[in-house]
Amino acid sequence: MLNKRIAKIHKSINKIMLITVASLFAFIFLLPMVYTFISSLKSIDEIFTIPVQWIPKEIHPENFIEPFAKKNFGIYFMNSVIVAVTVTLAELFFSSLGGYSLAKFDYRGKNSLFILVLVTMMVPLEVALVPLAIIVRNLGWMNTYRGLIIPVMISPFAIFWMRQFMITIPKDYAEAGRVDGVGEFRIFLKLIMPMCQPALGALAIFTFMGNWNRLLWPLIVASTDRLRTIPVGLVAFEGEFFTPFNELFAMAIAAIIPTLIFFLFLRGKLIKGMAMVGIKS
Amino acid sequence: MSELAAPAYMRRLKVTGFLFFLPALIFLLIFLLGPIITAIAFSFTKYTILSAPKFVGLKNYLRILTMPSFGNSLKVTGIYIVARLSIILVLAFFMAIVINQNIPFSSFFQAVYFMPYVFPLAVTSIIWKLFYRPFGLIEQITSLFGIGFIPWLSSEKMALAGITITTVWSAVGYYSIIILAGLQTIPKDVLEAAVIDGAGNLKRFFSVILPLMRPTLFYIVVVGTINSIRGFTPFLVMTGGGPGEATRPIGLLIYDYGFVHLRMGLASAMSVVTLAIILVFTLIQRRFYRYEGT
Repeated sequence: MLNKRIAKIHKSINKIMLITVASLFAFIFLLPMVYTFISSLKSIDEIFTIPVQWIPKEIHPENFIEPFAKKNFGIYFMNSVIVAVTVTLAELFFSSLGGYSLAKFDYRGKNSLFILVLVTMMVPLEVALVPLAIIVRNLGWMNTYRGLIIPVMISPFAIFWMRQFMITIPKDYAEAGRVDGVGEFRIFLKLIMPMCQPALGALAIFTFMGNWNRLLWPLIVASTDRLRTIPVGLVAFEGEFFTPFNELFAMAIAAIIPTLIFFLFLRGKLIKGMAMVGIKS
Repeated sequence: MSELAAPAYMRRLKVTGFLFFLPALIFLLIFLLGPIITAIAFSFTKYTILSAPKFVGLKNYLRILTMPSFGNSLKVTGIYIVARLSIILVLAFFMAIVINQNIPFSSFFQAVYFMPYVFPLAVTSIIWKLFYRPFGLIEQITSLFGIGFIPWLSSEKMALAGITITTVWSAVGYYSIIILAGLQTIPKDVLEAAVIDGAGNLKRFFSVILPLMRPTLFYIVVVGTINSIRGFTPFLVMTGGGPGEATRPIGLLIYDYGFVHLRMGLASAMSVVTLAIILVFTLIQRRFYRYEGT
């Protein structure tokens, strides 16, 4: 009887300790985010004080507006939206086409094409950055949306991803369409694509996030302010001589809003998917 | 469909199948395979912005071997990978074990730990640069322990540590989720058997849990290494490689030579060497997974 009770107490003490440790870690992760958010609402004088002013004396929501008025943050956001959305749509379309071809057709050289996908998948973009920049310059695409979008539009991983999904779709669907005399492209678009919704959804989110976060490529392509995306604009803003840090914090918050929305609404799926994909692009 | 029409029909289907892949093929050739092959070709040339590429044989590679900055960058990359991965492994394991104990709010904790990973690395780097400033968040915390300002990013001694702390913060939650997934595949009765044997907590960890987690740990080490070699955004944003050469990993060195000094031949040779290193790790990973049968 007594032993049982001691064991029970022992167990609950154990649990309390575990929760304390888990909360401590949560605190370490949350503190910088909370601090960033509070700082984004402070006046410039209140930003760096000792001790830290956890509750600002006055709230300055204009920190979120000023960079749009004085700087080109409106353009940066628009550019990021244009680039991320276009790349995502193009990637979904072209990698589905490629994946469909590898999954559901038989032709000579198909295996070599699949190997090409696997090999290019292993090579990081960073390695080929110099020649890629030269190609883009020779095409006259520096400082254009084409330059920002087209070279990063299709990833071999996406083709591989779609192929793996489409290979599980029974051949009968396409055959049924063919018997009815439906054209091959219409079969792809109207019969196959709707069945790929789960794979397409996951791919869309990862592609959008990856391109929203991308720094290196737009840094190389966009040297004029007019074409900067959010990460590039933020880095440039931080590098100025008299950066208002409260506004910089505010723009950092603004920059993470899209990914944060995805995260909050699709948390479980996102964590599973990212853990599966493994290598962050 | 008549028997005679079948071969023509089959042929058309083959052509259609290939046509579906054509856009992707053109893209892969121009923007991926082409540049990779070009980088290899450039690596044997002297190529600056002023002149066309000129074949110089292995000169760039010999040059690299004797370049102090290349050796330094390899050292920085190596220290960074080892330090970052060992801290991540210990912390992520600890976090995963804690969450795995059936504690309440477990999914809340998982979400909070994972959250920094979804933020753009450029943004994380910028806000941490601000945290490290005098009177910034980090000094606020260290001053609680009576420690004054530490020049995290502006001293040669501390800069690499400063960046490592940032990237650990950003990624450790992600790795803890991977470890958690691995822990959950360990059968309950295996652990219970260890309890009945009277194995102590620590002993159980080292003799039962750790060996079973080998595939997961291996995966983390390989993927973590590749990601550490590739990802130089924090270095570019937080220190730009300085002070001196203290935080210039190989990726940033290539970027500097290719896009700042415009010595494209030399930069390409460095890329090829880096690519070779990454490929070795990728192949190790592939081979390992084939053996594991997953």
